[in-house]
Amino acid sequence: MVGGITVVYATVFNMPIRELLPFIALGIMIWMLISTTLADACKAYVANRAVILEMPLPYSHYVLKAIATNALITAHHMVVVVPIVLILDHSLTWQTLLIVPGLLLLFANLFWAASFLALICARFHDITLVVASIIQLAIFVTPIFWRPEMLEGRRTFILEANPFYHLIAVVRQPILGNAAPDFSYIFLSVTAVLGLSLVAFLHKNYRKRVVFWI
Amino acid sequence: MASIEFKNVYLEYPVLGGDRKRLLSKQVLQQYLRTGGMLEKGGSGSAAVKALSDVSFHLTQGDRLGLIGHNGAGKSTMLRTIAGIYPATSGSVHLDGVCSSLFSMALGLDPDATGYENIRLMSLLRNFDMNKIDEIIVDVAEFTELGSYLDMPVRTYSSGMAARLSFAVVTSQPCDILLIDEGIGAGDASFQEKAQARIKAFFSKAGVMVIASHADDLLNQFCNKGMVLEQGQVKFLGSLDDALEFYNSSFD
Repeated sequence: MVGGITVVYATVFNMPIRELLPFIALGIMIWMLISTTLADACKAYVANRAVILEMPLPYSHYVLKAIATNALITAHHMVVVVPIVLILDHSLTWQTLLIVPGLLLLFANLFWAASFLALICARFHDITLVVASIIQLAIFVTPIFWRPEMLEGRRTFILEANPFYHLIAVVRQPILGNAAPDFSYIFLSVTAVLGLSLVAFLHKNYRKRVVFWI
Repeated sequence: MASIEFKNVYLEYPVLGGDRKRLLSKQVLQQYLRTGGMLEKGGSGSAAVKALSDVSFHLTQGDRLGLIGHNGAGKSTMLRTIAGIYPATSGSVHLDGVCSSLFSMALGLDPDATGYENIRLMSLLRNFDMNKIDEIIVDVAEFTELGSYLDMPVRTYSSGMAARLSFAVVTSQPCDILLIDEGIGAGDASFQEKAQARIKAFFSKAGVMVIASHADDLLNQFCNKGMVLEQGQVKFLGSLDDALEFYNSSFD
């Protein structure tokens, strides 16, 4: 599938396949991790109703389970994607080490976003559908099939205001051998701190009610 | 020493998704419902169910309490409040000892995993000591007589075999405080003498036990105390015989 998409887009944008294939393959892999984790997070409490009503486990258990499941699935995708990148793009550099902070930022942000969605969707079950729609559309405004450079400096807010772009960039760029923009690291650090605080606050105040919502 | 102590416990919960205007209309609120907790106006103006009101009791080592009451009188709610699943709105709940609930035995059974894997999964979920997992596996394998079926995925089991497996795992480790909702724990009477003996041994090892049940036989067999609940209020608490008498006489 990734191969097919790449051939089409490489032709449309008149770019070498060799350059575009690793970019798209990695983008799709990370995008699938983010989107399926968020989609599963919406159902984390509601789908585990039977367990929640049986034993008092911490609520983070259900959120972490959703994240772990999708991280494992991504690990399976890596078996295909990583060799593609290594074969087509021999660009292991020191900047590849930035994958470590990249993954930390990705999972810290996924954790708070997933906890937030799990709580909100438990209270308002319909939000699940809203989130599904947003995820479906977000893939088009995020540089996964097209490169951020193609904007050529026009309307850069398309990138800067898009959290999905930053989440993907901090993991994708190090694997491709370069660093993500500084702004991405700042953006994600700020959202991680704010998001985790928000979730801690909501959790403290509403944790006890979740069992009556589901 | 296991013990459970409730002091002036109230439990109220919001009703989401019901027709709020109708739920809060005078007719409904004034209706004296014999089943169910009392509906009333909650803090934020939404409908709320008063599921437990002013419940106080103290159970210590050796106590076997039977919860008696109509459907919706608050029996399961009481069990869940003891287990810490429902947080008390006010009042204090204090437990000494590890609490184990048997509301739905098949919890954690993964149809795609083998019998052995499921023994591990369920033991993990129920927080059993994993150093003893080998003992648990031997014990469960022996009791269930499933033999080589334990190497096969649980989806290939008949429902009876799956029930045997989860029953054996759940009853494999003794616990301090045991909470049982009828029809699941001991209610599985089709499990022949062997299961009955195992249940008796399992129950006798528990420090404190609370059973919610409509079956007088079950209560008579295992309980020494009884509590009659109605609309979330404790109407009677005393010896089992007195409690059953009180409950049956309230029908007249």
